[in-house]
Amino acid sequence: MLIPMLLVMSLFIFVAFALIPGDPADIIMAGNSHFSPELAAEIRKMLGLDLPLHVRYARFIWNAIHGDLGRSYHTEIPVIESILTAFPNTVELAFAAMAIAVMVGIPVGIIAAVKRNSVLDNVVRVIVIGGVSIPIFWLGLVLIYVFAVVFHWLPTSGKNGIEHLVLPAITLATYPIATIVRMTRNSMLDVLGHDYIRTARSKGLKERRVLIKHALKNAIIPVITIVGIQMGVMLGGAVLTETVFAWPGIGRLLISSLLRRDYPIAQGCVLMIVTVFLFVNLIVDILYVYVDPRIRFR
Amino acid sequence: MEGGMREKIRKIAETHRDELGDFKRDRTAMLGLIILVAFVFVGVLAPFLAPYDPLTQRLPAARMTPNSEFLLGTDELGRDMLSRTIYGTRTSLQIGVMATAIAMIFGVLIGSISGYYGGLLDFIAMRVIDLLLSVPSLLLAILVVSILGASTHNVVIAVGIRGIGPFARVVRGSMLSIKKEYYIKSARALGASDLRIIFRHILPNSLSPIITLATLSMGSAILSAAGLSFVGLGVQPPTPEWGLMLSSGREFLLAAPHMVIFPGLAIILSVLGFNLLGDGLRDALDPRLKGII
Repeated sequence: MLIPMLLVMSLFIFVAFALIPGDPADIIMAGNSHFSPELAAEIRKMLGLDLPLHVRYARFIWNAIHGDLGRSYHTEIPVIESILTAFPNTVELAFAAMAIAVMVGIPVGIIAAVKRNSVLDNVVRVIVIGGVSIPIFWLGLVLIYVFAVVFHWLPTSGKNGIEHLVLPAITLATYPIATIVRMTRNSMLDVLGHDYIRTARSKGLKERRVLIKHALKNAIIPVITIVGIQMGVMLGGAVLTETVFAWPGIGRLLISSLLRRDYPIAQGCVLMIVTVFLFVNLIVDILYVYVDPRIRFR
Repeated sequence: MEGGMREKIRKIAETHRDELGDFKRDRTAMLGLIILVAFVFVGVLAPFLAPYDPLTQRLPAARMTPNSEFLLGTDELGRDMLSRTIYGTRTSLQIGVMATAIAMIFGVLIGSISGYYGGLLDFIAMRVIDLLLSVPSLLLAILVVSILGASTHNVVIAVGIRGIGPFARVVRGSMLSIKKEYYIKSARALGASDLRIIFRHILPNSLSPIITLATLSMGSAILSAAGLSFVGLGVQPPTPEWGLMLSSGREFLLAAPHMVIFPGLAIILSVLGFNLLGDGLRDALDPRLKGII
């Protein structure tokens, strides 16, 4: 299922970039300050721009399978190199953010469900709604201002050690925390209303055992889906967060290359992001089958 | 004709009377509604509410912190922040409404046809929607804007396209479940055409999820548009747009944080309004949607 999707997506991406107005020869020459019509023609021939579209696509796929995604229009560095340098940074950021989101989100969601309609629960619901309404780039800037400018506790941007990871990870974690808390809470509430919980309680089991062994195990199932989806979304570039914090990841590479019209790099970034996204979704689907025994026995 | 419309609306409101009652009692949802009404008010009356023209530059007065003359300070070109924030309401609301309208119209169309007719049409349509949804939403918008060029107009298109998926899925789901109902079968037996069945019988009953989704989509549309503008791939200067203002303010974060704080608050409040309203609508109209929308 993954391979056909990937192929179709690659076609879609290829066509999308082929449609972008602008002559690559011009962009290359402008970036390297040579200019002549003969050079332009030579560049176009080299890039295969005079070939029909389906031939270009075939070449594109063939090259891609062999690890050749073209070269940057501006620096002539192979695209694959730039991407492989940037991508691990995004992974690092995404994992850090996800760790925070899960470690904070799930417990909070559980507590909110258990103490339903209490003050704590209402505060949590407010935070959840706030969390999905906040523009992530604004939050990043505010955090930078408070922690880096005012207090000088943390650096403002870049990547040079774990203190640089803190603010971007917290910023990126905000939306996932909100969705995880909401999902955990709703799922717990749903599960806690079921008969088997009442049975467990009437058996005289300690409340904590009821909660963890019976309720949580069932409630956690949809939460795993959410975690997986959010992971995919975050790996999908964390574009805005990386831009705000000048984090050298693939999202930032995508934006900067697009703004410079360096399309091979941009195309490579999109390809990478979409591939990873599809891959993560696939893993989530597989995981879901394992985690929810009801599906296995259907 | 007038009387007919009024009758229809009265009837729909009557059927949903219980839910509307639930909604009115939900205080956070009412808060959301109030916030939104306030924003619409500001947006519509912008020329009367804004103290200055949002485009006038006063370079000597650049980056002033809030004072008596410029209540929210000025930006890097000396333009009044308050006026720009007020006019930004217009930009954001317009983008939000139009993008959601595009998403809704196409999504409902695709979803209804796909769900009602089923078969190969359904299969192909759903694969296309899957494709649309297999790209992270911001990325899709970025791609569309790259092809079409960065402008307010194209931001609407990009954000609109991004929003089609959820509508299509929701409407299709509605179609699939309702078309099995007996009253549909009887309508068909009476000789009603397919189009008539879709529009007069099925869609009015799927109104709840559509309305809820539309409200929530408007909030996320505003966020996406602001995000696109922030990275330079959206609304272009000098149009006052909150994301764009944040982007300019970023350079001067140290010296002039007010340039960043106020547009951001505007974004938060407006999106919050849509989200509160949307959640309230969903809880009132169909709590079963909690896991889906």
